[in-house]
Amino acid sequence: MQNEDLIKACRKGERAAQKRLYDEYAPQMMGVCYRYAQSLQEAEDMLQEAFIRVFSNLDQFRSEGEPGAWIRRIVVNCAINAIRKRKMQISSWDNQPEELHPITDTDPEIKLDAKELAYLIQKLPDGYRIVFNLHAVEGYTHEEIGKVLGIKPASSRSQYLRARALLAKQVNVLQQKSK
Amino acid sequence: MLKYLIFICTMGLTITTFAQQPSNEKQPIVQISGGYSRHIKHDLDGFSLDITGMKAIGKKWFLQYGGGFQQYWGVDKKFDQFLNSFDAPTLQLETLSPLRLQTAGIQLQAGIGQKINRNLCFGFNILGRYQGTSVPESYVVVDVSSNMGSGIQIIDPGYRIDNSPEQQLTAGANCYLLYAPWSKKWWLPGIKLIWQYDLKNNILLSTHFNWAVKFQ
Amino acid sequence: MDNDKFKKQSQEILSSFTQDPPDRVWHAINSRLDARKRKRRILFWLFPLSILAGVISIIPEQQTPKIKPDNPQTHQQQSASKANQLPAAEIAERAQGQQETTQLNDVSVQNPSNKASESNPVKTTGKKHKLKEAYADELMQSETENTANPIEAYQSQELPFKALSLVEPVWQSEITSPKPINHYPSVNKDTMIILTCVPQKSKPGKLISWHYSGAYSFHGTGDLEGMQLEWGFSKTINRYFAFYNNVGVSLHGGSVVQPLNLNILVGPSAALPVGQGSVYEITSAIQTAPTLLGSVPATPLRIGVGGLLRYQFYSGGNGYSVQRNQNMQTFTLRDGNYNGLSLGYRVVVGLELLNTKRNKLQFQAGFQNDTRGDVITGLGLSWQYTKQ
Repeated sequence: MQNEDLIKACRKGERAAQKRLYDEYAPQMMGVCYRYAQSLQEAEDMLQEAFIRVFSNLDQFRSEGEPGAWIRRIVVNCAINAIRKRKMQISSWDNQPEELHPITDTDPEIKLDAKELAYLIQKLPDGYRIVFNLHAVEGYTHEEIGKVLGIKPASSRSQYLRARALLAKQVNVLQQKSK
Repeated sequence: MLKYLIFICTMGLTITTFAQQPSNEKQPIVQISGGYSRHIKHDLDGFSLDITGMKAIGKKWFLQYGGGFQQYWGVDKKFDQFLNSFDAPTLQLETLSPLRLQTAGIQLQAGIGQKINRNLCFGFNILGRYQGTSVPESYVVVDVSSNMGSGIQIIDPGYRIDNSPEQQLTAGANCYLLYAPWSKKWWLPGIKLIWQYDLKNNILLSTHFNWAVKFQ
Repeated sequence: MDNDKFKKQSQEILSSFTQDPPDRVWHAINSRLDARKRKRRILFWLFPLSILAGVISIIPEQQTPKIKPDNPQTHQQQSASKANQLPAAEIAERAQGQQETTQLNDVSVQNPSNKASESNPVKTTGKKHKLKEAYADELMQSETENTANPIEAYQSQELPFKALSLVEPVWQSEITSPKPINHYPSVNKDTMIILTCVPQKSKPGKLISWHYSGAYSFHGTGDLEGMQLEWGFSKTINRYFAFYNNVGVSLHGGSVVQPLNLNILVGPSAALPVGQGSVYEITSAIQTAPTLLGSVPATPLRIGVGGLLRYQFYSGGNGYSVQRNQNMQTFTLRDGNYNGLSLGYRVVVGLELLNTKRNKLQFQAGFQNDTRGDVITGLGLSWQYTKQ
């Protein structure tokens, strides 16, 4: 079934079409949720909420693009909403100078698989995790992240650098252990 | 804008049995009125509705009894909107919002009225009122900071409520002036000005349009 | 650059990261979608059906047909002659001597056994009315049949006016009950009855009652409490059912969290600490709920079911966060869904406490739900007044 026909069928409420759309995109979106959540249970809740919103708002999807990218944005929004509900930790301090952590001068080459890297990201503090995911993985600029989270772009930048430094350290440790 | 729309939608016409007192003046009538109202104490605008049953007890006097409903709303103007929205194609992130100020009341009232002249009536009611409000007695907007684990301060605008609002059951009184100068066969448009006060210092000022229906 | 390299690597690795969700996620999504669909379907039909029923209930009823004067009223002839036991000629004379007015007849009928009735002629003051003419014609015709009771003669007739017996209070009360107009009780011969004919406005049996209700109620799971008031009128459909149209208002409120209360510890002489209070949410609404009321036979129970149209004002948001320090709590509030219109349904169960001719008082419990998920339950009293 073409994407367009699939979307049309989902809009009509055909459960088989909705299941098919879910089967097609759920694994990828579960990966996204896994990176944002603190635990697997939370990731499942985020995914459930996201797909309910997808099916409810499908009439707003413009059929020109890929539904995957549109669904992904919804999933990211839901993930951030869920974290905000439990008072997520993001940095909003503006007086901290922007500086590189010394360890970032020698960032290791990542030789972990996706699941391991995602696991390390999951273990970051909330604020670091959100900013790193949005910037490094989703590709948002710091200005866009600033708008999303209500912080200054400079704060987003600093937060990202600290997240990256911490993650790089963890990657290094894990890679050393596996050797 | 919504308040004005509601004001327009609730306006109606009045049948006057005060100007013309035929032999059927003893028949009860039901008067429905609604319009703009202002809650002086909470500084909120809104609307109110009244349903009143009236029964003439003479040429100039009448008994009245009925109920009313008031609704006022607004937002706290001291709060700076914290722009937190994400320009998503379908969704917006939750945004922090100011305190929503809302007051509503239900009341039962009874009293007497007098026809002053052909076009003018005066009425006085004793009432029992039940009011709920989200407007605290005193509150301030604060910067709410929190620090959880990452060593980073988070600043959000928030509220410190010093005294919680309470639901109130109180007694009071109101009086009104009804002006109905346009005479038609069986109905009359009327304007009613109402002033109301209760024991919890809630003062309401209302301007209503009236519409009445006669029941035999 | 190193920074970009780490970022690019992360991006490359994680872009292909997938994780199969467990089956329970889809089951949960499926259930929620089904629930939404069911709710929409029920509410879609409930409200227009109830509105349709309400409209049907207020369609004007047919007027009681007037008696065609062309149809001979043989019973009336018999009863009239028997009632007076006067010679036909005398009846005719009296009929001819009737004055014509614009009012309908006032007929005084005395006990036929009382010969003094001869001195009290039948008064028939009325304009030249077709019915009167027919009556006069019938009076002129004498009949020799005997009936036990003159009133019985009227029992089988369908009159355009209703007769009230001022002497028989039991009969008076029968006006309020949904019985046909021509069902009159038998009357003692020795009793003087004054029959007064008044215009009949509505078909018998279809009574309009006014309802005034109030209830103490909860909104949601009990977080918000308050009251409801309702005013309306009902129209009987038959002996067991009535249709009830109404307008109601409700007001509920509650604190989102418990206010702190350190005053007790601080003491009366110290300055009151600040930040002790809580955000307070209120919901207020105007609604109409056309309801079909039914009485359970041989019991004082009444059950009502109907649709609901409700506009609610809500001061709460989509969520809030509470931060507590040692002696103070602060709130951050999130934007949400405030005022709105909703459709729903309502179920009411009543227990009659008092039932008289004109007044009924019942204790009632109600439950309602709507498309915004506002569940309201209430307990209260309802007073029903039936005006004659």
